[in-house]
Amino acid sequence: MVVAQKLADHMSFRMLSILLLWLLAAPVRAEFHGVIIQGLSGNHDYAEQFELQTGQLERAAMNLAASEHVHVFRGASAGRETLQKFFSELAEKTDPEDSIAIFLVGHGSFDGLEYKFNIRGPDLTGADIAALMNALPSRRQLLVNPGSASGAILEMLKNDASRIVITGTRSGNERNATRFGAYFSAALADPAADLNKDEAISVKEAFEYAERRVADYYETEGSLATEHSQLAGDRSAGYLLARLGVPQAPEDDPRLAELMQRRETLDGEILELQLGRDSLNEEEYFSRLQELMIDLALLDGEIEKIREAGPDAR
Amino acid sequence: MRAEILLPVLLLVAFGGLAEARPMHYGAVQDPGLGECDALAWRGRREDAAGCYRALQRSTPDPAIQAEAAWALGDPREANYWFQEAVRQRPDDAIVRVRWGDLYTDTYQNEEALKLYREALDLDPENTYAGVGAARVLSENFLTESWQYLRPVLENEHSHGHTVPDAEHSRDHTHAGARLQAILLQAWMALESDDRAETLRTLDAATVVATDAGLPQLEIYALRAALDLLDGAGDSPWISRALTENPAFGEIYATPAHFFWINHRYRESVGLYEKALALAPENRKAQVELGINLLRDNRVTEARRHLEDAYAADPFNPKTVNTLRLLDTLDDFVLLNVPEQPEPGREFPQLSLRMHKQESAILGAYVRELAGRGIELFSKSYRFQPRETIVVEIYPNHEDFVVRTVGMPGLGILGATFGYLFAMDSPTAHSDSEYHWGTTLWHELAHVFTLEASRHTVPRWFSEGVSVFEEWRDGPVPGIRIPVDVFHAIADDKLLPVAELNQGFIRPSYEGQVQVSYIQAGLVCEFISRELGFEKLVDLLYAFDYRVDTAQAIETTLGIDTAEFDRRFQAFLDREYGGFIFKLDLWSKAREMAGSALEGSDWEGAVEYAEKAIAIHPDYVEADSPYLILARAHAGRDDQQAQVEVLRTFWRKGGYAPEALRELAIRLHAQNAVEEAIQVLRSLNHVRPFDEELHALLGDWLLQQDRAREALVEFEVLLALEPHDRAMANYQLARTWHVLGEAEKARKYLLETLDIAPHYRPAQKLLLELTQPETRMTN
Repeated sequence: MVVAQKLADHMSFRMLSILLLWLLAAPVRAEFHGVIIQGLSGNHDYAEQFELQTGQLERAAMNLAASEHVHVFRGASAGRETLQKFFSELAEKTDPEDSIAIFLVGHGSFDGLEYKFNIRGPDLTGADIAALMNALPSRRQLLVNPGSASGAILEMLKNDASRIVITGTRSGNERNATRFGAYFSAALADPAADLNKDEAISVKEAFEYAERRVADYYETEGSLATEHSQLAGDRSAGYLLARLGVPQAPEDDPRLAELMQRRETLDGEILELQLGRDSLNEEEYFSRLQELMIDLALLDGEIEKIREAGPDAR
Repeated sequence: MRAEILLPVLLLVAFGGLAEARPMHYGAVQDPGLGECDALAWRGRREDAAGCYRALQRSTPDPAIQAEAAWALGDPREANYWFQEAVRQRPDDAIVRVRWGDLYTDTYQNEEALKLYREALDLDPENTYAGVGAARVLSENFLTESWQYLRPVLENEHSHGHTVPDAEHSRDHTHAGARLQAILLQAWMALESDDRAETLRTLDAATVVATDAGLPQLEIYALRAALDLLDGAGDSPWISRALTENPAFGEIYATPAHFFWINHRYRESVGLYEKALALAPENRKAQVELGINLLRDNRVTEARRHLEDAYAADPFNPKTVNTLRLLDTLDDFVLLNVPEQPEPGREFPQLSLRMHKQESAILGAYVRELAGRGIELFSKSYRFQPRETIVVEIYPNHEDFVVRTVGMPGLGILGATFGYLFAMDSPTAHSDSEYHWGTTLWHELAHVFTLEASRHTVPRWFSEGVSVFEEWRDGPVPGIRIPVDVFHAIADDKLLPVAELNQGFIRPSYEGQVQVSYIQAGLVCEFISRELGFEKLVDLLYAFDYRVDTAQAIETTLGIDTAEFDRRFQAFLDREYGGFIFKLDLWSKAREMAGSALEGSDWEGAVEYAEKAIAIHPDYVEADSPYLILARAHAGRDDQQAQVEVLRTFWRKGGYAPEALRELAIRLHAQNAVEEAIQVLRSLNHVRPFDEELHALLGDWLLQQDRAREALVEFEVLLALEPHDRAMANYQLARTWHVLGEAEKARKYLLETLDIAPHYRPAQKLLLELTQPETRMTN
C-alpha cells in the first residue's frame, strides 16, 4: 500500500485503479462476508423490487463466498437488536484481512438531523450503522446504501481509509425513491458491467454501470434527476463483488498453479508498463505492450485449455 | 390620473466624445435653443451641433433640456439623471416621460420604455408621441397591441389645420410630428411585410404631413431609397437628396440594409451597412448589424472586428454582447472540409462543417452523407450547381444557434439559412430526444438551393414551401406529414390566398399560423408538382425577381391568375383531404378512445378504435399517431407479429418515434429480416446519433452482413461517444479493420482493447491470429 500511495501522486485515477486491482485482488486466505439487509418496502411494487435486488445480491455473494458467510436479513429478522447482535458476533469472528460487504436494500429518510434506514421496529440510524461498522476489525469494508436520503450518511462514514461507501443520493435532501439500487444489483450479473473483461465485477464497475444507467433513465424520461449517487473510498477497482459465469472450483493442479503464478507476474509487468506509459512514445509503448499481450494471450490459452479439459484430464 | 414617478436604473456608462446620433424627435420637444442645435445635428454638422449642445448645457435651467443635450452628446447616463430630475420637478409633464422613454428605447430597454410611455398616457391620454413610442416598442413582437396604440395617432388629423390660434397651432404641430412618426412606423411595417404598394402609399402620406408641418424628411427618403434598391435599382435619387440635406446621414444606407437582410439578401446588406458606416462611423447599431450580417456570410474575422469595435463604444447593446459571446464559443468548434483535400476540377470544397469539437466525430459522417446526397439531388432537380462551398454550422446549445441567427436568444426555431451558409440545432440541443436533425438539415439545404438559384429573390413562402415539399418528397423520412392543427385550419378556412401567403410567416394573425403556413406552402408546392408538373415548380423558382411578386410569377409561369390558382389548389385539397377533414371529429374521437383504452389496459378496445382511426386517415404518422397506440395494444395482447406489422407500416409511411422503431428493428432482426432491421435502425441515426447502443447494434448487424465499411462508420462513432464499454468499442473496430484487410489498424485497436481489458479472450485470440498466424489453431 505504501507503494500505491507514493505512486498515487504521479498517476491518473485509472492507473491507480489498475494498481489497486493488482495489489488488492489476491489477499491470501482472506474471507469474504456478504451482509444483505432488506428494509421495509411500503407497498407491493417496492416489495417486489427489493426482493429482486436482495436475490441478485445474494446470488453474487454466494458466488464469491461460502454460504455460511452470506447473511440475509429481511422481515422480522431485520430488526435493530438482531442486527446489533449479529454484527457484534461478526466482529468477533472476522480478521482485519477479511472483506465485509454490507448492502442496505430499502428506503431511508432524513429529517435534517438524523438519517434512518427503515426496518421493522426501531429504525437503524446513521449513527447505528457507523457504530456497527466501526466495531468490525476488517480493513476491507464496503457499505452500499442506494436508497432515498442515503447521502446523509456519507460524511459520517467515508473518512475511514479502509472503507468504501456508496450512496444512492448526494445528500439527505434527495428524498425521492431511487433507481440506483436496482441497477447496482443488476450490474453484478450483467457482462456489460465488466469493463475490463475479466469475468468479474468490481465495486467500481458496478457503481459506474449503475450511475450510467440512472443518468440514461432520467435523460430518456426527459426529467430532472432526483438522485445523484456517490462513491467514497479509493479501493473500489480492486474490490471484487461478483464473478460472472460458473463459479470456479478450487484448483489444486500444480501445473495450473504455476501458470497462474506466471500470469500474475505478467499482469504485474503489464501494469508496470502502463504506469510508465508517460515516459515512452506511443510506438514504443504499444510495441512493448504487444509483446506482453501475446505472452499473456498464450498463457491464458493454456490455462483455458487445462480448465476446459477438467480435473480428470490433468 | 396621476402617474407614479418611476425611477428606473439606467444601465449605462458615459460614452466619450461625440456619439451615435440621437434619433429625431419630430417636434416632441419644443425648445428654441434645443431646436437650433437639433437643426445643426440633423443637417450633419456634427461639430457645430456638439458645440451648440455644450453651450446649451451651460445655459439652460431646464433639466429636460439638459437631458436632451447630454443624450445628443453621447452621455445617456447623464441624460438619465436629468430626465429623472425633470420628472421630479414636473411630475405631470407627459412629454418628459415620453422622451425619457425614448432614451430607454434608444438604449435597448424596451420594457422600461413602455412603462414610461404608459405613464405618459395616464397623464395625458391624448399624447400622441407616447402612443407612437409604445407602438414602436410593441411592434417588434406584439403587433395587435401595437396597432391599438398606433391607430389613434394615425386617425388624428388636427395637424393639417393652419387657421387655429397659436397655442393650438403649436399643439397641432406636435400632433403632426407624432403622426409623421406613426406613418413612418406604418411604412416600416408594410415594407417588412414586403407590401411595397402599401409602403409607397404610406410614404406619400408621410411626405404630405412632413411638408405641411415643415418636419424633417430624411427618414422618408431612407425608406424610399430602400424601395428603389430592393426593386433592383443600382442607385436611388433619394440617396443623393438625403445626403444633400445631411451629408452624414448614414441611415440612408442603413435603413435599406435592414430590409435587404430581412429579405435574405445578406451580402447586399453588408455592402449597404459598410456605406452607412463610411458616412457615420459613430453609428454603432449599424456596425453591429454589419458584424452580424458578415457572420451570416461566413466572414467571421471581419465580423468579430466590427463587433469588438462596436462593443468598445457601446457595451450595452445585447446583440453585440450575445454575438461576441457566441464567437468566443466558436473556439470550441472545428471546421471540416468535404472533401478534405482539393479535388481536380473543383475550386472549392463542396461542404464545410462547423461543429463542436466534441460532436464532430459523431455527427460528421452522417452530415456528410446526408448533405452530399441532398446536394446531388437538389443540383439536378433545381438545375443549379452551387458556386461556393456550402457551410453547415451545428450548435449543441440552442440559444447559441438563435443568437447566431438573430443576435438575440429566445426564438423557437431549429435551423436558419443565410445563403450558402446555414446553421441549425444539434440533437444535443434538445433534451426530448425526438428532434429529427436529419429533416432539419434537409430542409435548410433545400433553402440553400432556392435562395442561391434565385439570387435571394424568392419570397419566404416559396422557399419554405420547397423545403417542406422536399422533406416529404425525398427527405430522411419521406411522406407527407400534416399535423392535426393544420387540418383544423383547413377545415376552418384559415389558409391564406397564395398571393398573401408570405403574411402567414411574417405577420401571423392567429396563434399557430406560422406552422399552418409552412404546411400550406409545402402543399402548394406539392399541388404544383403533382398537378402541373415538377418542372413548373422549378420554373416558378426562376420566375421570381426583384420586381416580380408571387402573383406575377404564378401568372407568367403557370398561365393562370392567383384567383384561379387558389380555386384549383382548394379543389386539390378537397380531393386529397376533404374526406378526412369531413371525418376529422370522428377520427379525433376514435384516436382519443383508443388512447383511453390503452391507458386502461383494454387492449381489444384500443385495437378497435385505433384501427378505426387508421382507416379514416392511414397516413397520419405524427407523434400521437394511432399506429403507435395500435402497436402498444398488440404488444399488450402478446401479439408480436401484429405489433411488428403495425410499426413497419408506421415506419414506411414516415413515422419516426425512436423507441418504437428501436423495438421494431430488434424484432425484425430476430425474425431474420436483417436488411430491413438495419434500415430501421439506421434511420434512427437522424434522430438519436448520440445513442451508444444504437451504433453498437447497427455496427454489429452490418458486420454480420459483411458490410464492414458501413459497420466501420458506426463503430467509429461509438468510440467517439466515449462509451461506457470502451474495450468493446475498440475491439469491434479491430474486428472490422481485420475484415477489411487492414491488419495494422486492427492491431492498433486490439492493443487499445487489451490495454483496458488484458484478459479479454476474443481480443487475445485475434491478436494472436494477427501476429502469430501459426498459433491460430491452438488458441
